[in-house]
Amino acid sequence: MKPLLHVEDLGVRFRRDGIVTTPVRGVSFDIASGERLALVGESGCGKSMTCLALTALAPTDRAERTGHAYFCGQDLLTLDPGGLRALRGRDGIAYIFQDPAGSLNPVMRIGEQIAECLTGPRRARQDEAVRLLARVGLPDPERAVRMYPSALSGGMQQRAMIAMALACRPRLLIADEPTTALDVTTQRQVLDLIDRLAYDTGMAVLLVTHNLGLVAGRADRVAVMYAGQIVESGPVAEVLRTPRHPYTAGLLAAVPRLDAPRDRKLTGIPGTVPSPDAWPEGCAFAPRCAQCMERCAQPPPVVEEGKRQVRCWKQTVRPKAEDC
Amino acid sequence: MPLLEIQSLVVRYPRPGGLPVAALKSVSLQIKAGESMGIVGESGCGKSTLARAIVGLVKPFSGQIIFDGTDVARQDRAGRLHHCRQVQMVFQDAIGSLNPRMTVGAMLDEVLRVHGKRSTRMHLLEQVGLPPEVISAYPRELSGGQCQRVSLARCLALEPRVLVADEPVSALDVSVQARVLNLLRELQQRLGLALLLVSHDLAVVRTVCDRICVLHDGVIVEQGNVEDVLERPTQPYTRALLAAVPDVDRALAGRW
Repeated sequence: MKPLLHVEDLGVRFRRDGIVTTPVRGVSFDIASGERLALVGESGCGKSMTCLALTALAPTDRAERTGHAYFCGQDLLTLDPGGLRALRGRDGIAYIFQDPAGSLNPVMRIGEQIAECLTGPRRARQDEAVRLLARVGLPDPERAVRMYPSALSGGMQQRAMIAMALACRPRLLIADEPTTALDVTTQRQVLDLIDRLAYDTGMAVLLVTHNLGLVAGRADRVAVMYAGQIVESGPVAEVLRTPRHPYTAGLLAAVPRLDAPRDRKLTGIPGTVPSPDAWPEGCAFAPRCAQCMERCAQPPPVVEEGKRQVRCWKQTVRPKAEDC
Repeated sequence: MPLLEIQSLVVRYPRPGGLPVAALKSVSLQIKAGESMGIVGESGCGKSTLARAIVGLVKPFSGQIIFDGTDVARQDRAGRLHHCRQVQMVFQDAIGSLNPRMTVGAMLDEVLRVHGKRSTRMHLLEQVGLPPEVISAYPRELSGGQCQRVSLARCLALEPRVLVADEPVSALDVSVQARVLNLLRELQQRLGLALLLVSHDLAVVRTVCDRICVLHDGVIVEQGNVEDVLERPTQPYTRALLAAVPDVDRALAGRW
């Protein structure tokens, strides 16, 4: 069955004063209807930029975008502003971001902002706004519609954002660090809500996060990004239990666990993440990789095995007898 | 005798045109020399306020903070100066804690000189695992992890007996967090510092601390050994907090 979103070799390039930066390069992934894909990586890896580039959101509207992103038969990268606008409507793509306060209009009541996304007579839109707020679990939605964003807590604001995102019944919800600014208990409620809504409506979710714990609990598949590229992808349980890329393994070893033996030392990854204006030659992770070989001076190929993909030279020398 | 003892501490913040907000509503705890204590809770629980009160940045409304036998809140200027040398703090905003117009070397020099300490800048950098070249760097040239190490070096310059770290790694990338946490643990053990780690992340606290204190709405709901509290929590709030933590292993095991 054709995927809902098929991204092929996506690249984002900025030129300014003669300096070229490529925060996203050669990114390819699929999302099926109803599937939850997590895009995970540290700062500067390109995960947010990838999401913005899909619908030419700032700053990618000023960038050169290359490659393809097929969504319901259309290549998103070739759409004009009118086409993109239509996409933000019914059956399209909706976004929620990390900072709800920054995304909500501070001088407009919540109900108005939600109703703004809808079409139809005013009364019907207002009623729908109340219904949506109830659906996202906002207590006393009749009252909430008349409130300004500043009167709501962070968690409530995020729920209002979700209500706005859902107003157009999107086929794909892109959530970029939606709960990073929230407490863990609120985080759990908001993510439970997204999961439930996705399950009820068949909506697919692209979840961007730096938190591997969230990936483990809230996604079906994961793509690990580093230096503008996807370095490993596959089903969540497989990738997290048996990581194949040294960077993925490094991240997993660096995360504190609740159940590991207490004398288990956390292992950081030496060095720092490279920045988009100076990607290393060859394999971007080589300067920090304990398993770096001579061959790593060349850009590694993407090795596919079953549902898993790894961008690493090490995979090309693995014995074939090992199953995936 | 505990090194630091907090008794019935109440801290209130004034609110314009209204009643003051009680950030801490009678908190009591003890920390022994060389012990590492984690203070956990969600936003608004009062953990940062507690950290600030211990360091002397915030004046309590009532209650006592007794450090090495002296009540911190009732000291004169000389006493407060002496106290701040003994109790040092590292903040969440790594780069924001450093003077952007001074090099690392200049910042460390200033501290050593003003407080008349004998250590050298090189020795301090070595203690926090930074290379000598960093001496001439400005904060903007350093990564978040490196800035945090510089902040630590600056604290260590005063040879404190207590180190308070308020969310020291939350703003750092995962791979860097591990290294800074390891450094904190190692410094604490090697120098015999008492460490007070404020964090919203239970797994981080479990890795670095021996004891834990759970704050909610300005009161301590549970405290004890980190293993006891995290493995056999007795309070509903602690349980709710644990259940909400997105832990890789637990999620994979399908526990939630």
